[in-house]
Amino acid sequence: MLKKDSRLSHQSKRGNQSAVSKWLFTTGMVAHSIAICLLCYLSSGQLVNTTGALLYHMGMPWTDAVVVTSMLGFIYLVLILLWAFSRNGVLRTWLNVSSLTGFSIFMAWIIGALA
Amino acid sequence: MKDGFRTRMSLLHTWAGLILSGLLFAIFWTGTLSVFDKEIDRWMMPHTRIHMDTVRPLSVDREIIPLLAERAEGAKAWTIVLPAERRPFLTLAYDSAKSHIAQRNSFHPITLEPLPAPNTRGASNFIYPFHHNLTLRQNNIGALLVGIASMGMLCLLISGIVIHRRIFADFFTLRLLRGFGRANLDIHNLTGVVLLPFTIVITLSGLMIAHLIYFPKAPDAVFAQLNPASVTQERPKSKVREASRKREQDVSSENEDEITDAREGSRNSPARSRFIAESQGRVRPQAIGQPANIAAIDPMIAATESELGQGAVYMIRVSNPGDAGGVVALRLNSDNSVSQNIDNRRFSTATGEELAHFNSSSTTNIFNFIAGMHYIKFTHWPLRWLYFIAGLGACALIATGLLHWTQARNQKQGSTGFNVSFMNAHNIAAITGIISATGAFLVVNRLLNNREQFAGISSRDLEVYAFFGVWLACLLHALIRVFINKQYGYRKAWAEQCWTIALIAIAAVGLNWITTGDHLLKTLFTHTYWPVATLDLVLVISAVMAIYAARKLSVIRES
Repeated sequence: MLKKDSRLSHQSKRGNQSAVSKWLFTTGMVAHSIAICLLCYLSSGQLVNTTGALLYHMGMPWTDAVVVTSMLGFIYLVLILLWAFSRNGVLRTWLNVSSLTGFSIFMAWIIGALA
Repeated sequence: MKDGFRTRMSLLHTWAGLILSGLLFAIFWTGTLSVFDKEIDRWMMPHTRIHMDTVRPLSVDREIIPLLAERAEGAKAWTIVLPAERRPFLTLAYDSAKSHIAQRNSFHPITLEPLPAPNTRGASNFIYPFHHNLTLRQNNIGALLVGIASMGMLCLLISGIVIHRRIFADFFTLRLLRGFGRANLDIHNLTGVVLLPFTIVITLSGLMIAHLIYFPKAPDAVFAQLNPASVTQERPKSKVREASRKREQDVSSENEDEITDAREGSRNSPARSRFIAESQGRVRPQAIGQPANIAAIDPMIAATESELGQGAVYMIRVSNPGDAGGVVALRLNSDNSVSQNIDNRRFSTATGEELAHFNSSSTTNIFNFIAGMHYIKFTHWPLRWLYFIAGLGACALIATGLLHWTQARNQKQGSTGFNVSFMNAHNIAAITGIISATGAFLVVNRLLNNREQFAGISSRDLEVYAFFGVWLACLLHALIRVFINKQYGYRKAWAEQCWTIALIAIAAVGLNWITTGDHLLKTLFTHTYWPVATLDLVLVISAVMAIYAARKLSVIRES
């Protein structure tokens, strides 16, 4: 399945496709990319919340924790985006990014429950 | 086929570049112009072309308070922005009993005569806001689009390093005479490598200063640890609260509004409000209802400046003047440091006694340093010029990246499909289109010459309509040229729009001369006034470069 997915990413290079299937492929890839970007943003947002709470519990004043974690958030987001788009194949990307998002939501929930 | 990491980064670089580069060019172009926004304001507001050499320090008590007393009776807050090198006039802002919308008046720093109302947004109220929110303020849509583009820029920069196999060799390679495609790619590589520290820092700092827009829940999440009950206490947004917030914003200075807007967006939860108050010292003093006289403010400024240096105070904010609970807050400038100074000094309005003042924490100071690197509030002309040149370099990086994709496909005979033609038109509108639009913004400003309105439309709006109208016209022109002649139409469109830029730039310089009498020889030699002279010079240089490019393109077209 994964091999199939990896072949999918090269389909656009083939010259023997009809115009309709090319457009369908492009639309699908655009939708896939947007969804992956949204998931990456969601997971980085949850990681920001988790890191902020952790920093606060480690003794940092709450306003400083917000400043540090928000600044770190952009580093998280760019790293997650690059990691997501470096995955080989659509399915593997979805599996990896969904797992990360689930993990980050779970962590944020745990930290929230500890308050 | 083995699908390597570099290949996937290459795909990301190509697609992110194709989708976001048009928007990125607009953001970097307006950001680069914003480096000299106050100087462009002087060009667009001729009545504010005042030489600061002859201006003496003003006495707040003797000269400014009487002005406020006669104009701002019953105001809840006064804001006084003192004249400075880049803003050579006195600004007073105050609300009134009738309206919470603040009136903002400018005065000549020597005669204290009111200056005519500026019937223009100028660069600081159009080009700068466009840079950070595309002037789409509703629900922060513009700021979010800018954030998406900026995050794309970071991905483009990092993926660019990954896919660049000969990064050090190409650092020393610039083959300008080896054909357009080769020269274009060399310029893309060179600007990408040389400006990498600048582009990464400016993009990341631009995102970080607006962290409350992009990660709006962070203060709530951390505050919930401090005060778990706060999660359930979030108050619904009421009209009263919104009006009160608007009132607070309206009476602050123009610049403060813009920075606040850029940083925080338009919605605040209780945790966010508390975060802003505690981390940035922005607290709203409450009136206690007991009348009191206003203590002398000059000694407060003298005491602060004896501690921090002459000219350290740039803004005075008097909350609840005439009330025993009133507070005078002295805001400190950031002229001598990269870090943005948000510390202030507070005094009681009634007694003149010094109150506990706000000092930001070390962590907030790191944030202030990052913000200061982006806002460029410091007074250091060579560094400001370096920012401008680096900004133009970043524009060149984005433009050459866009051209590289289309150039490679344009060279293949008969391969100009819809996507290539569309990208050709897109590139022309994104690059020469916005440059022409900026020129049109200046030309219309001088044509209207501070008239309040023209044909029933306010001049402030007409200038903006001209900007977007010319940009749209450039897009339509490019589309028509490219789709009429898919093979060579794009070259004709590039050449014609280069001629347009040259024409607009020369017209702007000429109109400035005709409407104000400030021609280049005067502003350079006889009555030197650098802000206007420099903008005129930049326009002339742009015209020369545009003519050179247009002629080159015409030669290629004819051959």
